[in-house]
Amino acid sequence: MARSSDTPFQVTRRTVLETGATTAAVSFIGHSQLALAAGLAGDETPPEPVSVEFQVNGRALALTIDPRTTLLDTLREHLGLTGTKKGCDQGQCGACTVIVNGQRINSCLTLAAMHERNEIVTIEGLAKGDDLHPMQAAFVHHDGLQCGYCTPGQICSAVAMLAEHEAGWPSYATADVGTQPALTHAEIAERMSGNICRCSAYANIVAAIRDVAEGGRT
Amino acid sequence: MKPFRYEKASGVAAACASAAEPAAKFIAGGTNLVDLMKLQIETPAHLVDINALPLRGIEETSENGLRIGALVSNSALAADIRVRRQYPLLSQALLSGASGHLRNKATTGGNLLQRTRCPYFYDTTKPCNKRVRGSGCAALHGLNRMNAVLGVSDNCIAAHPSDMAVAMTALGAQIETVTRDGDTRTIPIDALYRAPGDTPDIETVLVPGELIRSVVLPPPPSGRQVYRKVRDRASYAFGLVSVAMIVAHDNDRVRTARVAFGGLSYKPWRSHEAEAALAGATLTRASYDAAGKAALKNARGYGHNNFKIPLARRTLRATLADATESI
Amino acid sequence: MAEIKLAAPVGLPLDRVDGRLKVTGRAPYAYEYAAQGAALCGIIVPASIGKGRVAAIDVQEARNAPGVRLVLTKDNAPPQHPFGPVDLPDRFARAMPALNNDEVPYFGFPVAFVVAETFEQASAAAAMVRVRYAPAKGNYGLHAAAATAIDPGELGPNEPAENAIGDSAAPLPARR
Repeated sequence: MARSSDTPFQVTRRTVLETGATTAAVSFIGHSQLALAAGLAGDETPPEPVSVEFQVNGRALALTIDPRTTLLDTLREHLGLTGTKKGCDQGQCGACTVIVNGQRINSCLTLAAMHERNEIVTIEGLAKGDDLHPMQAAFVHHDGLQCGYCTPGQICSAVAMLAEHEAGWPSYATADVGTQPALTHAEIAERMSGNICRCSAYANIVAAIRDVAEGGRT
Repeated sequence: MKPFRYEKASGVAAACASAAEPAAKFIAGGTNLVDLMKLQIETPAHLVDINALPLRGIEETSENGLRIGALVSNSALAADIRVRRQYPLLSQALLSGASGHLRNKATTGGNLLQRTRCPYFYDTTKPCNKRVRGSGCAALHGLNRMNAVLGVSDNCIAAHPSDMAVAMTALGAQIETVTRDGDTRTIPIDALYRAPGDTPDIETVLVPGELIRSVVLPPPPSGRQVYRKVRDRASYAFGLVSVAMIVAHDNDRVRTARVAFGGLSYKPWRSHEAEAALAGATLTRASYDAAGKAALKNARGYGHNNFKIPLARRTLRATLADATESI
Repeated sequence: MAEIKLAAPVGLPLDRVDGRLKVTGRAPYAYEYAAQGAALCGIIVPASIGKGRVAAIDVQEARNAPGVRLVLTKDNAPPQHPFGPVDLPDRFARAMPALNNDEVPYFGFPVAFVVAETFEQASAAAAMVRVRYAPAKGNYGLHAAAATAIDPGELGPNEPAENAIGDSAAPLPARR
């Protein structure tokens, strides 16, 4: 894995997008680390930056960042991946949903530093080139969006939710938690309750999810 | 967020030693702690990440109970087939809480130790004895709709928000811990939480650096297990009142019952009063009402949460009716 | 009800032209157009009283915090057009100044604005701003204040204001 020498280099979003190699390791000296050292007065102790390595959309990355940086802000501010959105920044809306090691989480409520060696998939990582992921295609086909701000979170959440159901997980809507339930409307609504949509595209979101679930195209 | 030193702990002993220092805290799932750190309600100078510790297993104990590692995620625990079949109450309670995303990250230990969502605890412009001892309690005469009605004091009327802990309380869970000196102990869940009294800022009996390693569930008691949660929304909302119930009955009478309430107190409220009233009681509305009355006898409303008292009684009755398929 | 005939393309199942961009996370919102790292981050410090004045504000620690480039308060914000009276002809286009004076008209009203190089630095510095308030008595109950509410007279040219309080508890009128 290529690693930068003692001289850090600043990597821009364009560089990330244009770098073709899926296993290239890119070392970031985060914007914040340069800022960490500057502007101190008196006996201010700078927060010690932390180094962390993880994969985002198949690409191995090594970062050095302010430990306070959430995974969400790391994706948006340091990696140029603005597809994941900040809706509430307190784990109550789901707009920040990403998939970590196959599971959906709120990226606003976790620190990037906590994700050493994790595999992170964001909305930008679902399509294969020009081919949309079936869930993305279904959202377009069923018009499961209006303003689109909750949409990346909805799609990542839905993809991971189907995997949870596939694994046999019950939900609060499941009458007998000992059984593996069918994915009814009530089940989908319960399982997706962590993603809210101010435009109220819910009916079409459920239709899109149902389409993918029943088509078996995951 | 205030700056902090981040440490990824490689072993239990090292983790406990680090966390025993002043202004140090463990972080596991982080779904509560990161939120509180953003608001500067929690301001650890040293964060000890314990996610690499070997505490993610769920194993049967020699007594045919279950030992649950402190780092098992809420999702994994709710989905475990042994939990679903033998402790469905726990699975239901877990699934009723938060959202799928949060359950994937939240851990067993973290869920037990999560802090109240009292709006005045969260509002750093308002006095709060839990945040700053001695500063006052803004909830007492404020909008205290979500606050406690049992076991609290005028210094703090915060309610514990966990659903998992309510089910674990009904199931008689034991909390296994280890300290920085390597000493281990087992704390019954009902003894984990401290009443607010004069020191609402101290919420548990854990000492600095004491780490929850696992939770042990005894073999499941006989009877039907039901978790019932009443809340403003159909999903993804904290409970106003919840009931964890295990009831064994025959054709016309209750044999034994376990009852714990959520949303009513600083900890899950195991009601021995209700259980005593239900032992041997007929499967009738009168019995269930009597149990509810006994359970809430000492309850006190603080203005905006008075409704919780009749609501808790009715919810108990409804849960009993559901669990025994009676009335 | 009369049948409404829709003329194409209304009612056709067309895919949104922006659909593909939105479902792939490539639709740029607001400052996402800015080059990565080029934008500074500003955090508003909200008033913690419902009505009154800012008696004093101390931004020394915030100003010296790591990464902070600017702290704006009423003491150094550029002058702005004041918030006009409600009876202006164009009342919905009134200026909405902040940091214009020491007045706090509502809970959460901006009393300072902290700009730093990163979000974490701006948030941390915002918490260092110390404000002392002179609170005033306010009206926080809608129904109690209804009796003395201002009647605007008109909402716009040829648009008189209508004031009526209905009975929401009464049953709705029957459908014909």
